[in-house]
Order: sequence, then C-alpha cells, then structure tokens
Amino acid sequence: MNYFTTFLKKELIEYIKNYKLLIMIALFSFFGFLSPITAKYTPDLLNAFLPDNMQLILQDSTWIDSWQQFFKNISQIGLIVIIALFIGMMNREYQNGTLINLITKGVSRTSIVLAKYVAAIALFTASFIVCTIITILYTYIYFDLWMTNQIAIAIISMYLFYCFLLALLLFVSTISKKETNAILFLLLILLPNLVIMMIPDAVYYHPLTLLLNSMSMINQQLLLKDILPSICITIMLIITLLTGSVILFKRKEL
Amino acid sequence: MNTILEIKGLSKSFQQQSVLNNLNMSIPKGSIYGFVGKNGAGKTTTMKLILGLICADQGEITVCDTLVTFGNTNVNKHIGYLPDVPAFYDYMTAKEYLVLCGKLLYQNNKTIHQYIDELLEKVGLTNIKQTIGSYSRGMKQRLGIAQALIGKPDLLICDEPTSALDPNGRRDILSILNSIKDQTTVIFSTHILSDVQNICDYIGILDQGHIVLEGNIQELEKQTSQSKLSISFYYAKDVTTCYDLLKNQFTSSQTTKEIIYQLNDVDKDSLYIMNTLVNHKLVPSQFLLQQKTIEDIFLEVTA
Repeated sequence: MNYFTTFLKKELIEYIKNYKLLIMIALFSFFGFLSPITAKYTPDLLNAFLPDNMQLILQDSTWIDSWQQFFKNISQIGLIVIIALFIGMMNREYQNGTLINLITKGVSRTSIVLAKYVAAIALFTASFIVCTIITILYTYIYFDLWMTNQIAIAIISMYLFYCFLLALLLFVSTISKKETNAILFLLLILLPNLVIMMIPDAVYYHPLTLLLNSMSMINQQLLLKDILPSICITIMLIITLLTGSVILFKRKEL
Repeated sequence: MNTILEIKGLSKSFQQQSVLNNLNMSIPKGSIYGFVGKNGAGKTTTMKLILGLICADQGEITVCDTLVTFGNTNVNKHIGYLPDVPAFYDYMTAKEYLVLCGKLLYQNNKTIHQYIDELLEKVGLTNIKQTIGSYSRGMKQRLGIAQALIGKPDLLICDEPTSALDPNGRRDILSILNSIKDQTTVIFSTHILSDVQNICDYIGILDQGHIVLEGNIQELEKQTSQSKLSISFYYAKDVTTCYDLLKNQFTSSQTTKEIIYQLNDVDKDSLYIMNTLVNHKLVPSQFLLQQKTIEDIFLEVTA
C-alpha cells in the first residue's frame, strides 16, 4: 500500500508539474461553456452572416441541443485529447528509463500499474466533473432545465466508457515500447470495433455504445435496461485490461 | 570466502545471439569488484539479471543468500543500482527525488530528511535548488549514486559510472565509491582500467559470455609479474655476451641493444641476472623490470 500511495502521489504531482492537469481542466471547462453557448447562439450567428434580405427560420434551441453539443464535443475532441495525453502512460517511462531506479528499490510492479490507472482516472474525473457542472449550470441559465434521468444515464455511460478507454490506453502503453506502436495497436483495436458497431444488435453489447449513443439515451430510444449488457461488458473489460496490464508488466524486461 | 553475490551457470541470449554463456562469478563481501569487458561483452546484461530486470535462460543468482527471480523485486531491497545513464523525473529537485525514493523504501519517514541531507552532502549536491532537468551529466551521476545508496544497500551495482565524465567528475565519483566500501560491497563495471587499478580489490574480466579471469588484483599482479626484465647495453657485443651467458636459464628475445627476459620469480631471477652481469663486468645502460598492468592482463586474456 505504501508503494501504491507514494507512486500515486508522484503521478498526481507529475500531472501538475507537466501541465496535464491544467490542459485537461482548461479544455474540458471550455467544452463545458462551449456546448450550451453554441446551442443558444448558433441560430443568431447564422442569421447574422446572412444577407439583409434573407432570414433563416430555425426552431428555437432547447436543452437537447445543449446536451447534444456536450456529447459531441466530449466524444470527438475529448477522445483525441485523452488519447494524446495518456497514450504514453507506461512506454514514456520505458523510453526515458525512469522506472528502473524505482523498480530496483523493490517497488512492486502491480502498484506502479494500478497507481498509473488510478491517477489517470482521477485526472479525467476531475476534468469531466468540471465540464459537466459548467454545462448543467449554463443549460439551466439558458434553457431552464437542471437535469433528467436520461441525461444522467448518458453522462454516467460516457464516463464509464472513458474509464474503459483509459484502461485500454494503459494496456497498449504497457505492451508497446514506443508511443507510435501504442497508437498503431490502439487503432488496430478501435477500427474493427467501429465496423462491428454497424451491426444493429451490437449496440446492446458494445462499450462504444456508451460513447456513441448518448443522444439515443436522452431521446429515450435506448433505456437503461437496453444498455445494461454494454455496461456490464465494459466493466468486465476494464478489469480484464487492468489484470492483463499487470501480468504483462510483470513479465516485461526493462 | 564470505560472498555477497554468487552467480552459477548463467546464460542469456537475445534473439538467438548468445550474450552470456555459462557465467560463474562470486563477489566477496566488503570488496570493490571491477567488472571489466569489451563493449557488448554482457556487463549490463549481467547487472540487469542480478536486479531481476530481465529473465535468465539458465543458471541462478543469489544475493545475500536469497535467490533472484525475474520480476520479483524482493532481493532488490539489498541492492542499490546506478545505471550507466541514470534517468530521473526532470521536474523534481534532487531532494524531492530522494524523498520519493526514501518514501518508497521506508515506512517510517521521520528520519528520511536528515539522511537525505547527509547523502546530498556526501555526493556534493547540497543547496542546489534547480530541477534535475538542468543538471549536467556529472551532477546526474552524483544524484544517481545518492539514490542508489538511499536504501543503505549491502550491494551497490554501478554500470560504467565514470565513462562519460571529465577527469574531475571521474575523480569525485571514484572517491565517493571508495568512501563507502566499509559499509557496502561495490560492483563497478568500466572500460577505464586505470580506475579499476586505483580503487578495486577484485577484478572479473568478462569475455565471450563468461569470466575469463577473476581474482584479487594484488595477487593477480603478483602472479602475472613473472613479467619481463628489459636490459639495455651501450655496446652490441655486451648484448651478445649477456645473451650467451643466460640463454640456457631464461626465455628471452633480443635486439641489437636490448634483451628482454621472461621471469618466473621476479626477486630470485632478477638477483641472479644482476649477479651474472656483475661477475662478468657487464654494465647495462638500463635495467628495467616491466610489471604487467591491468590493461596488459586485460588485453592478454581477451585477445
């Protein structure tokens, strides 16, 4: 436990010192503001750019537009940011040789892997909470709606997907010596799964459902009972990926 | 002999290329052991195997009577390790880094700070507030020694600690290593054979995957100082006379002004030759005993 807490603390300090915390909080806060503001002012902006003799007739924006923007931003730009920041979780330490000094002091390899994951989750959770709170607040200000059950389910589903993504990033980072290899490996896993998602029934069992079908959840086309298998499979995959990362790191020659 | 490290029948290959081949070695407790070999001889591989960082194909390693197992870090509590290029977290200061190491090693960290200050003083990094990212190679090497010593190890493994340093940096590192030999056994790999001669008690020469020569340096020097005696004369006729007088007793080689004798017992043979020269009134211009250096021994056994 001593190894785990000490290493976790080191990881968290590292996030502060190498500006990852700042980047994540700033970007996710920006997404948080951007989503309701975009929903609110897009019609006005479009009309402002039209010639004087023309007018675009659009329906009034609603809270649904605000949350649609939120899920779109987090699932697209957010995904790229997360991959870029965490793809080197382990292999950057291999390349720099920084783990050697600590492992040769008897630090357990399991503690290192788990501390890396928990630190990444902590950073993502903090950023995601800030982003969500800002969106909730501004959606309430502009559209007079706090929260619905369906929005809460969609938010938690997306959060769970990112916990899975971080476990996947940890896994590919553990088995690859270089970041480029880790990215290739990640693409080899993600791309076929995007194709699998085209199969109609896959939506009920696939982790990507939690990322890609947020609006179906809000519109009640997908209910909690529908995505429950996906949630269970995602949790099992997180445990499997973490176990795999620990086992592979223990067998890794440094 | 009380040994701290014992290696038996160790073999390791990388992609079918054999690096270590039935390596056997033992390190006496309380010694400084110079681990010498050509580039690619397998020194770093051996060290990483001792630390359990890579997996051996065959053989066993025991440190402080505990078997080393790959991936299991228990034995490492007895060992301090200074890699050839020590890597740190650049955003930390030396003290922050040592505190991190100390916290990983000690449950009770009340006394850590005092010990860290002592270590920083020992390696000459006291009062340096800048982050490690701005350190020179020499400063990183000193910090490397401090982090390796923080666990008060029984065995300190240093992988070429002086190879990239200027003469002052080298001298400082050697003096630090020399100063800790009472508490810690040191294995010290290097290409710089004069460093081995200066501070090591024992030497092991690694060639083609196994130890080709191992032993106490003084004894090796003595054994190999059967050496050579070079006698030069002003006149070529004296060379011929001397050669004829001693040709049945010693193996020798001759030039126009010099004869080189191979000696088996330095004291006895030198005296005999001197007496012969005096008895025959032969005056040498030079009488030089050429003792073998570690470098000569290294070149001889790795040729």
